[in-house]
Amino acid sequence: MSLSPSDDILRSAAEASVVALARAGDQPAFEELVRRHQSSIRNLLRSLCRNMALADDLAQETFLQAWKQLRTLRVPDAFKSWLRKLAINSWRQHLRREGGFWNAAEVEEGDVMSTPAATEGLDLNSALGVLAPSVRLCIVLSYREGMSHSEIAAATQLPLGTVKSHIARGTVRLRKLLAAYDSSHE
Amino acid sequence: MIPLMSNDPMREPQDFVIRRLLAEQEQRLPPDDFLLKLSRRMDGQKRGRRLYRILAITGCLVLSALSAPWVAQGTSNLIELTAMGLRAMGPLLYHPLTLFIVGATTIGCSPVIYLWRTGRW
Repeated sequence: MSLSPSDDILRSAAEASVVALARAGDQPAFEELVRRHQSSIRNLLRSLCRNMALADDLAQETFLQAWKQLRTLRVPDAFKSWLRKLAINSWRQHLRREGGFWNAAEVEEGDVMSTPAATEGLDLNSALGVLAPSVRLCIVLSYREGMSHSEIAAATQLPLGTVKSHIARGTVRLRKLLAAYDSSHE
Repeated sequence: MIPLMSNDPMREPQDFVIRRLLAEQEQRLPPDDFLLKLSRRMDGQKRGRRLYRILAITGCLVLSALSAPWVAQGTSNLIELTAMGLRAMGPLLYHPLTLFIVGATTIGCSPVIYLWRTGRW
């Protein structure tokens, strides 16, 4: 993809202006938005899926949805959070398609999908994989994205109390799983 | 003991290790291949939509061409029926009962019309 003078202008333009252009159907403006946000969306989905190819595929779906629904975005400044919400929805839809459960309440122990051996030193990806999807999502949004509980509740459509308990329980669970990893790296 | 961090009272105290590990995972991913693939998918969708639009328009044209005789027949029947109805209503206009109904309605509405016209409504 070659860079034209308009690409340079787009690259230095304010986010709200680029979003406004993209909303009007300007494809180069939308490509600029993809360039700016693809890394964070792919990283977010990689944390959630723990499968790079799948995460990138879901990120592609997210941006295709964004391109289709961009006209419904009322506040251009909210583009990033709107995009993140689309990414979360793509991931949830993928879980439903795969027949996986979403809600932690469906799991017997509340937040545990499988129990690794206690002596096993887990890295973060494996430890996250142990958590139920909804707990993992709350943990990733809280720790990685730095979102507040109410923001997470709004983005995930989970009740605030559920978000708080997911984060608290998920943190305790992760602490236990990462204890071995932590002591070997400190 | 794993240290906890919190600078915001609205947030749970955060686990330093989890935060650090998640931050370590963050990579600056190059956009080129991703963007190229996405552009291809967007172009493919655009082509699909264009094809769908062409098919829909062609279908509508064929349907309208085939149904034109029936539409013309229906419209002519409707006009004919309307004309017949108007013709049948003619004598009724001079019937005393019709005149009474029209007069009573006008008189009944006149206070409202008066108030409305004089701006006192």
